[in-house]
Parts: sequence; C-alpha cells; structure tokens
Amino acid sequence: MQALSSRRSSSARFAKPLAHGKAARIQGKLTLSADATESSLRAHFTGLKQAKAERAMGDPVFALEHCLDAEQVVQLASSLSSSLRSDRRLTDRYWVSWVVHAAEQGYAFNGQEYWDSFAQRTQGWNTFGDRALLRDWFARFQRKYNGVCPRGRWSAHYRYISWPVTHALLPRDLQVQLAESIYNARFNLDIAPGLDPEDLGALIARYTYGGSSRYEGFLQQQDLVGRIVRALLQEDSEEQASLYRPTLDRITHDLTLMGHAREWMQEARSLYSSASIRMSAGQRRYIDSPTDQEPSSPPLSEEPILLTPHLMMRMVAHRRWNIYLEPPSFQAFCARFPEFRPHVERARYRIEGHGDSAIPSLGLLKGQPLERILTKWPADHQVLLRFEPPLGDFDHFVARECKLPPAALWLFRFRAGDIADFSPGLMVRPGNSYIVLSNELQRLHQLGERVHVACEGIFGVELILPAKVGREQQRAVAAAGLVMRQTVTVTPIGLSPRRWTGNGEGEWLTTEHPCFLLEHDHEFSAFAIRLNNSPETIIPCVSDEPSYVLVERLPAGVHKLTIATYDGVSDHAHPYGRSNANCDINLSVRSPATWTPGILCHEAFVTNVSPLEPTLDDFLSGRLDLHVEGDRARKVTCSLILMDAAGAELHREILLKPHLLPITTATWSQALNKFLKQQTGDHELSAASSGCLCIESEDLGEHRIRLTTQCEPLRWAIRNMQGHINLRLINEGVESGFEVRRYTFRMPLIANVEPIDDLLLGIDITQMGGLFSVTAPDISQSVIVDVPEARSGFSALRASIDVQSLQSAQDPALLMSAHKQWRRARACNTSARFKQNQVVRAIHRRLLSITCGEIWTSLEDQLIERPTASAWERLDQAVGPRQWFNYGVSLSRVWLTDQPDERALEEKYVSISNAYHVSDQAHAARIFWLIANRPQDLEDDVLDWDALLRVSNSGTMIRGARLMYLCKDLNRVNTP
Amino acid sequence: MSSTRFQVGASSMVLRALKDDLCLERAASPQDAVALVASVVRRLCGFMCPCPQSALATAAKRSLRALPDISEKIDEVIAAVLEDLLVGGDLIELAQVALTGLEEKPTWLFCAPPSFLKSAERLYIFGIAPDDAPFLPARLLDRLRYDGSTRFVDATTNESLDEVFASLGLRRLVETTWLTKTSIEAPGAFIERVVLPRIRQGGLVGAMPGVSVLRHADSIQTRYRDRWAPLEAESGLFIGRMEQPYGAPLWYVMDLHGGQVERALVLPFYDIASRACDQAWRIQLAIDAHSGHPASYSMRNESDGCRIDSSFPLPLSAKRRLLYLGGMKNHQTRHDGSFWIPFAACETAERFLQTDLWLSKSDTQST
Repeated sequence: MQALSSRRSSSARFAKPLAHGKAARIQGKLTLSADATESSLRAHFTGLKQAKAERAMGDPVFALEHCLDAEQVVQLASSLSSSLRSDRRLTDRYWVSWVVHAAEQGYAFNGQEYWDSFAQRTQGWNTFGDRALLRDWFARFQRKYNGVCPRGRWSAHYRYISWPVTHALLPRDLQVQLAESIYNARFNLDIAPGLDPEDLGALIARYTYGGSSRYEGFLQQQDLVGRIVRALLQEDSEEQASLYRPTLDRITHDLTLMGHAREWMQEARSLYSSASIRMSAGQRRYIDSPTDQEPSSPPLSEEPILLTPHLMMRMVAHRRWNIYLEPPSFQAFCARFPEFRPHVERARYRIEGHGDSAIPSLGLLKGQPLERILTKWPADHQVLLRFEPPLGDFDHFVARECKLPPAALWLFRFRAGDIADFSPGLMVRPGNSYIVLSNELQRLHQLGERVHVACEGIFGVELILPAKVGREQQRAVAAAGLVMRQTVTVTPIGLSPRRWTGNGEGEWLTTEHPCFLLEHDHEFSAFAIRLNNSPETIIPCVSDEPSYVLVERLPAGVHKLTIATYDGVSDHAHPYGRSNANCDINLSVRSPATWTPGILCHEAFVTNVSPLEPTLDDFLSGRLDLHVEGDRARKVTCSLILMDAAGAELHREILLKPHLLPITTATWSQALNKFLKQQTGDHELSAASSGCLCIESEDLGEHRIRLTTQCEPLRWAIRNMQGHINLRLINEGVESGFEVRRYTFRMPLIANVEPIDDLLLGIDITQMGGLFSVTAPDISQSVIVDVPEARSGFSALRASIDVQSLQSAQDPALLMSAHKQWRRARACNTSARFKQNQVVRAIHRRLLSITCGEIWTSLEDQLIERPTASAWERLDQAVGPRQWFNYGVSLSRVWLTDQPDERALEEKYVSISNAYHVSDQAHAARIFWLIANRPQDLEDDVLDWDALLRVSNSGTMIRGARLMYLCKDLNRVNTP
Repeated sequence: MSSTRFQVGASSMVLRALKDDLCLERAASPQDAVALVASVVRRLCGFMCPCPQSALATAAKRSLRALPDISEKIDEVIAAVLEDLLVGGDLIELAQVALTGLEEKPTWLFCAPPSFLKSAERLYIFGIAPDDAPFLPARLLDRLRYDGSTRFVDATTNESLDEVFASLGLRRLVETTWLTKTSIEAPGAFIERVVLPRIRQGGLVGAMPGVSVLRHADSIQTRYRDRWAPLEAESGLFIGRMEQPYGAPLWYVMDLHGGQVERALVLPFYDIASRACDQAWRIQLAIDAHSGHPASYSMRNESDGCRIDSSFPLPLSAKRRLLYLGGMKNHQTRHDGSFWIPFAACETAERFLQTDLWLSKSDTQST
C-alpha cells in the first residue's frame, strides 16, 4: 500500500522520488530507460489507486501525482521525444509516461496556449504527434487508475487540453488566484471541516471576485476544487491524505514562492485548523449546514432573513417631517443564498413611493444601504422593492418580507429630538414619544398635535406619553387602537448590531458577542433565558438595576434568544410562578464581509460603466463608456492595467491624468480615443489575458473595473515576428466543422474561404489586410488585421471601399449581418481600427440608403460636410411627407430645448412618434431607433425585414430617428 | 451566573467582550480608553458610513453608554476620537457629494481605504474595510499596536513590511501626498488669491438672520470661543456660521459692510478638497495675520521633546503635519490644540506654523 502522507524534508519536495514500492528500486539512478520509467509509473499509480480506495473518500488519482523528480521529468521528455522520432508515432508501451509528460505541461500551462509549448518540449510532436490518441490515453488512465475526469463548461469546450490541465491538479497560473479565493473565504472556513468537497468547492467559488476566465472554468469543477482546497488547508496536518504528499508539497512550495499567496494560505490554514479542532471536539455546530442542522431549527425557507426595510422619520423644520426608507442589506441574504448574488450585483431596483429612479442593487450588498425619501405612502401588502429584471425565487423571498405590515396605524418612536424610528406593532410605552401615522385622519384626532408629513397619502400626529399616563390620555390611546403596556426592554449594547429592527430582530457578525441590556419598568422575580433549544436558565431578579446578557460568539445562521420574566412565590417544585412577559430575539448571524483590494468599500465616488461587464475587446475597440461622479474638489486618475494569465501585472498606462471630478462620458471618450490612436503596435495588448481600468482618487482609494477576455478553443493569435505580422489560428479542441472566411476592406461584404491548414501554421499578413473570421458551432471569432504600406500621410489609413460593390447590395438582412460582424471584430492595431470604422460606417450608410432613401443619405452627407442652418432645415423637411412636417420639427426641438442624453432622446422619440400616430407601437419604434442609430444592439435573428419594411411610415420613422440622433451627434444649435 | 452559551452579569462583562471582539486585549494598554472608543467608532464606520458625523457619534455613545470609567466624558471623548480619525486619515469628510440616486448632497463621513504610511521603522495603518473586517493576516494583526486613535506596526530589522502590506492590497501612502502641501505666501496674498476672487464670483447678497461671526483678533487676545458673537456693525471679511433646519450650522465667508452682508459664500469652496471648518480657520488665520494680530503658539520643553500649544484651532492638514512630526504620540499629552514634538523636529514645526499658518511665537514659553 502506498503511504500518501509520507513527509519530506527537502525544500525541492517533488525532486525526490518515492522511497518505497517499486519506485524505491529506481531511486538514486540518474538516468532511467523509458521502459523502466514506464513500469515504475504504472506500479506507482496502481499503488496510489489502491491507497486512495482504502480511504474510501472518493479521491481520484491525478497524473501529476507521479513518482518522478524534476530531473527525471526532463529525462522523460527527452526519451519520449526520441521515441516519437524513431517510431514516427506515439507508442502504446509508454502510454502512462505520455500522460505524465502531458500533465507536467499542464502544470506549467499559462492559460493562453498549450500545444505550442508542448511541441517545444517534445521534439517531433508537430510532425508525429496525435492529440486524439493522447486524449484516449488520459481516458484510459482515468479508467485504469481511477483518474480524475474533467468536468464543467470549460472542459467541454477544451476537449483535448482539459485532460492534461485537469490532471495537473493546480496549474501554476491558478495557484495565486486560488490562494486569494481561500483567503477571501477565511471567515467561513469554520464550517469547511464539515462540508463535503462539492460544497467546499462551492464555498470557495462564492468568495471569488474576478479572476481569469480559465480560473472561472476551474471553479466549475467544484468537487475537484473542494478536494484540492481541503488538501491545501490540511497541508501541515497528518490527516491530509487525499493527495500524494510529495505532489502537495510541490504545489505548496511553489505557492510559497509568491509572497502574498504564502501569507494568504498561512492565515486561512490557521483559521481552518482552529475550526477543525472545534468541530472534532463537538463544541460548535453550523446550523445552516444541511448535514449538521439542529433538529429544532425551522426549515430554511421559513426562517426570517431580515429583508424588512427600515423606515424612519426625520424632522426637517418645525413640525415638518420627512419619511425615509432604508433598504435592507442583502449581505446576509446572499451569504445564505449565494446563487442570488450575481442577480443582486447586476439588477436594479425601484422603491415603492420613492419615484421612478432605478437604483443599482449592488449598493444593497453593503452593511447599510443608503436611505431614500418616501414621497408617497405605499399601499398595504405592496412589496417595497421591485427588482429588474424579475427573478422568480428571489422575488418570492423579497415579496415575503420586504413590505409594510398592513395596519391602520404606524408608530415611529423618537430616537433623538429630530429622528423617529418605525416601531412595528401597536404597543406604546409610558415615557416615550411617538409620531403616529394613519391614512385616516379621524383616527388621530385625540392622540396629539398634528405634524406635517411630506408624504402623500398619510397623516401624522405627535404622541407624547409621560412616565405616568393620565386616564384621559389612556382612553385616547386605547380609542385609537394602541396598546399601552409595561414591559422589559431589551436593547443591544456593546458593539452595535448591523441592524436592529426594534422588533427583536438584529444582525451580528460571527466574530462578535451579542450583548443586551435588560431594563424593566415593573417588578418581577426572575428572568428566564434560553438560546435556541438549550434548557431555560432562571436568573433571580434581585434589584431594580439593569442586567446585562452576553451571548457567546455564534456560528452563521439564525438563532433565537428567548427572554421571559417570572413572578410569584418560589417553592421547591415550582421555583417561580406565572410568566409575566416574554420576548423572542432573532439573532441573524453572518460572517464579516471580505475586503477586496480595488473595490471601493463605500461610495466615495461612483463609477458607471457601460457595458456593465466590459471585455478587453470592448476597451480596445473603443466601445467602453465611463462616467465617474464624486466630490468635485478631488481628482481622479484612470489607468489601464494589463495582466497575464496568472494575474501578474504586465503593463500599466495612464489614460487620464489627474482630472477633477466628475469624469463625463465625453472626457473619458476623448481620453480613450487618444490612447487608442497612440497605440501603433498594440499586438502586445492583445497578448494580455485580462486587464482592468483602475480609477484612483487620492485619499478616496481606487476602483478597478475588470476587463475580461473570453479565451475560446478556436481563436486568433497575432505576433510580430521580426517586422512581419503573423496571423495564426489556434485550435485547442474543435475537431472539424469549422470554416475560415476573409473579407477585404475593399469588398467588405464578399467572403473568400481561406485554407485552414496554412492558417493553423500561421501566415504572413503583410499584404493581406481585412477581416478574418472563423466559425464553428457555438464559436465565432473575428479579427481585423492591417499592415499599412510604407506610404506617408493618411492615404495609408484609407479603406478604399469599392462603392459599386456596396451599392449592389440590396438585402438589408445581409447588410445588418455584415455590419455586426465588422463592428464586433477585434481590430489588432490602429490602422485596422481606422479601416474598421470606415467599413462599418459605409455599410450602415448603405443600410440607411435602402431604408431611408438615397435622397436622405445625400442630405445627411451634405449636412455632415457643412452643418448649416439650411442643411438642418432640409433634413427637418425630408423626414416625412408634408402632413408630418411638424413631426420632424418636434423631434429636432427635443434636442434644441433640453439636450438630453441618448437614452432620454430615444424615449422622447418613441413618445413623439406615438403622439403623431406615426407609429402606435413602442416596440416597433424602438427597433427603428436601433436600425437608424445603433444597429449593433439589435438582437440577432429577431428582424423580419420584409414585414418591417412593409410597416407604413417605416421610412419616416427611421429618418426621424436619424434626425434626432444627428442633432445630438453634431450638437445642433438654435438659429435665429 | 452562566450557561454554556450566554452569561448574565454586570457591565464589566460587556467591556471585556468588547475588548475581545475588537482584539484590544493585547494591543492597547488597559488604561487607553481612547483606543477603545476609536476601535468602537471604526467598527461602526465599517457598516454605517457614509453617514453624518452626528449619526456616528450617537451610535458610538449608544454602544458605550453603560460602560464604566468612560461614560462621564463620553461625548467629549467621542468627538475627539472622530477628529483624530479624520486627522489620521481613517475617515474622510466629503461635502456636496452626489451619491447615486440620492436627492440630497450632504456632508458625510466616508471610510478611507486600508492604507499604510511608513515613517522610519514604524508603519502606520489607516482606513476601514467593510464591516471593519481585518485586512491584515493574524500574524500581522498580533503585532498591531494602538496608541490612542492611531494604529501601527513596528518593523524589525531587515524586514520589508511595507512590501508585505502593499502585496496584501493596502494602499501605500507617501509623506508628500498624505501631508497636504500649501503654497507659502503672505496672508494678504492668500486672501487675494484664494478668498476674494471666489467671493466676488460666487458670493450671494442677502440677509442672514441669526448668523454668528468670528470677530477679528485684536490686542486683547480673546479666546477663540469667546470671539463668536452675533452680527452687529462689522465691516470687512469675516467668517460666519448660520444654523440650518437640519444638520450642523454652515460655515460662511462673508464680506460685510456696516453689519450688512454684501456677499456671502458657503464653505467649503467647491474646488478645494478640505473641510469647511479647516478652510474657515485658515482664512481667519490669514485675516488676523494680515491685520497685524496673528494667532500665536507657545512651546514648552518636556523631558523628551517640546509641547506646542496653539491659541487658535488648527486646520486638519496642520494637525496631521504636527502629528506626523511628533510621531503620532500626541494624544497622550494633548488637550485641544496641544502637540508633542521631538526636539529634532521642533525647528521644522515652528517654521511650518510661521510660514504656512502665519502664527507667531508667544512670549509665554516656559522650560
């Protein structure tokens, strides 16, 4: 049997082979024959399989868990290369060696390319190699030795390299990223010892913010991730037996070479080991864990989740009050239901009674979201937060708790002189003051003096209760439907809870002791306190002094603390008599939030980016809008940071020098265009695996906007090879059924099919500018390349489009498709980008000439050439037939009077078109707006062009949309 | 009396738990109430910010109300701690900030991002993470020390702690950016350059009922608090404060003529990143110095340095510089406007007070 947990002392841990089994017989030899290596590997993996099977934990075998040292790995590569060249094929007798050799390459995988590097390490591979056979051998390894099997979307996508990369356990490019995720999840590792690998993997994925697309793919293999994470956390423990010890030591050693990864892992291990001790001692339980749930806990779906918004009133002038709604924090909710976190991060919400503004719900993931004024009192049962887009289960949770209780009266208890907090229920206490609200004014008459509440549909009075309430006031209070009681007051003390509803519900952290102050305004004999289902503890009440209750730190979840009072004479059988009162406190406990560098903790400045999840392509193609708002006395700097596949910084460049806030879209656009124009040879940019925009503001900190790249198994690579630009098609998994087409700048609609074999080896494109597109099922990758001739001036940047060829195109669907393809393609350098823009404009112009008519496009050209008042008037008149002359004028007036942004412009366009009965359907009007101005945003395959062009007034509509857009684009001004 | 999951007891039990939760048991001296209050305020900031300063003060008071020893002067201590956190850079006050979807543009406190400043072998830690979650690993947290409102770690010989902090994602502050630079100029030139153009351009005319003005200094040397008075028949450039329906009174710079407001401009100036009170105090220092009655400072030698006392409130940036020169050791000896400076830095501190704030040295110095 293999001893999985054998320890090694050398720092170069994997550099020593096994000291037992068959491998022991080869130890010490400097060179091994290929046959001897193969047989030792087979024996090793047989033993490993058996050892793992005896643990019965379902741990798979990885090819990286081999028994070779570093030198022997190099020798293996050499002997396999020799074998390949001599046999002129992969020979079956070394199949395990090939698997190990490929897994070693997987360990060094940089996330960008596998086969090129593999071929460099394996001479003869490009000629005699066979990816399919190697994949079959991995499958055989999986069957024979209970090897790991790649899973997840990434693996399905990369059908060849997913095997060696998965068998590499934790390739170097993922190590730092995984260490960071484990560190982010450190406060939740107290539950890790009780989780199965799949759940542990899910936990780690939940605490991952960003990372490369490959890392995202890695995290999809949750069972695998869970096993690796547990092994890394147990690294120093003798319990660790799921991974072959020298392999784990090797990974750990590589991790220690990266300074901060070492810190992260040390911290996480420390928290994990203390949690393991607690778990094994049975002192602590995690009540939310499905396998370890306390029997008495109510089902998860029935537990309160503290999504009740907090209402408060604030005095803004004498006897004048505003009502504010403080939305609930969704931090605890998302910690318990992580599947909803992406929705909360992306959605927007509106507040009932606040107005129509849609607020990004990302702000709800903070401890205390910002309060919003209520100008209209919500109706009974009305859900107070409406999320967009809707999401069934999520909305169900929100609807259950996120609403006002239906009532005839609502109480707000004074917290300070000018602030009053909503107090659920109808109970009032002597010595307190309240604002009482009702939508029936007559209910309030007797209660107190009227106050003005700036909220439609509600009336208010101020109710002041002295310590001893007179009979008349008691009657008035009762007549209004309020209840006056003497009670024990339970209030948090010490570290304040994140939330406290005043109704016995609060939110604490796992790292804090909830403490309460018990005060009473009447006499009784004893307190009885119970936490969850523990036995009740009776504490005699010996004085009128307040008492303090300290609850020990609780695990994440919902706990119930019950405090009751007893009165009466004590005897042996029944120490205390009747229960006077009791209250239940729901303690919602969660882990502390994780601080992630580069994410602003608080909204000291606000960034808006469009699209919401921009890619590096969006940035390089100038399709990224940015707006930064904040303190106008502060300056921000915007920088581009490019990273390699391992997340290491490759390149940093300032795009916008210190600039006073706000950064408007126009300022950003100018800076971005300037940067893109300066990029004469940005082939290096395209080598980046990911990047981010870093917006930095002196003492306020920095906010990083991630720019991702989607690495497809079929993709383009461009390299500058000694002055020659080489274009190469990289195929890492698509077996057949793909096609490469090339479109020239001159004939941008006509496709030429290109030979694939040449492109797989790489071609010199010095004389071959244009768009190269490769398509396969579910994959489409386009790149625009151009190497300007050594001519001077702007002529080198002219696309020289063949106008005749374009004019001959009559099919709008074809033009739309070509427009999208050219616009979405990635331009590899500045000249390609220039030509791309010319082609896109020319195709769009042709589309407009079909839909709006040649006369219109000529008038547009004249206007762009010379934007005079008469040119604008001609355009106004050309929008529609005579009976709709005012339609065009009205559209123009929108810009001339308000100068709204594009979104508002579109809304106005729809409403004016409706008002003039040019189009009664808002949906159709929006489609016409997109055709006219943003065809790239139209969904694929939703347009029935025949039907669309048959719509009466379609030409008028599109011309109207163009007119409005041009007013904004060319900044039309009023003329006398 | 106790059970396995909770205890019932006196307020001292709560205090112990509080220190335990804030990791203060080992890091701060038991007598250091300021460190405790500062840690409580930081914890509150971790989930309350952005919010008004008064909300933080109220919440801190509520958290600490039943604790022995500190409840008597609690308002004073909390106010001093909040000022210390602003001076040190844990908190930032931003005025007129447009927050997403919020109608008002309030003056609120924001948490600074986790950062550090290296000063010789000492690394000062600033900033507050969400939930006040620790942003240092346990190994470094164990070495964190509290001295009043400041937190620091002392590096050992040959230890590159600053590199470790940077790799953990903490922002590296450098002295030149952390200490706000001011241009050295005569007080009259400062008024001409900074105040007058703005008040001429943006100042509004109109009555300001109930406004209080800060009277100019004169030879009598009235205390700062006693210089505030209702508007009478003053003429010239004045600092004023006026109550508003909600929130703290607003600061104004006003051009007065015979008690009438010719022009008034609310502070802070929209294009200068500092607090309203700091701008007001610096303007007043310039006015007084220009009129020949500069505010004064005194120096008193102590065993390991000297103590500087100012007769007038110093702007935040000045306090920060003096704190920095004093190695952040000031809170122990400080009452309002008092700073400890080591002998080696006394000359620099004096030069700063005289050139940047136009203060003059008082004759009442003692040894």
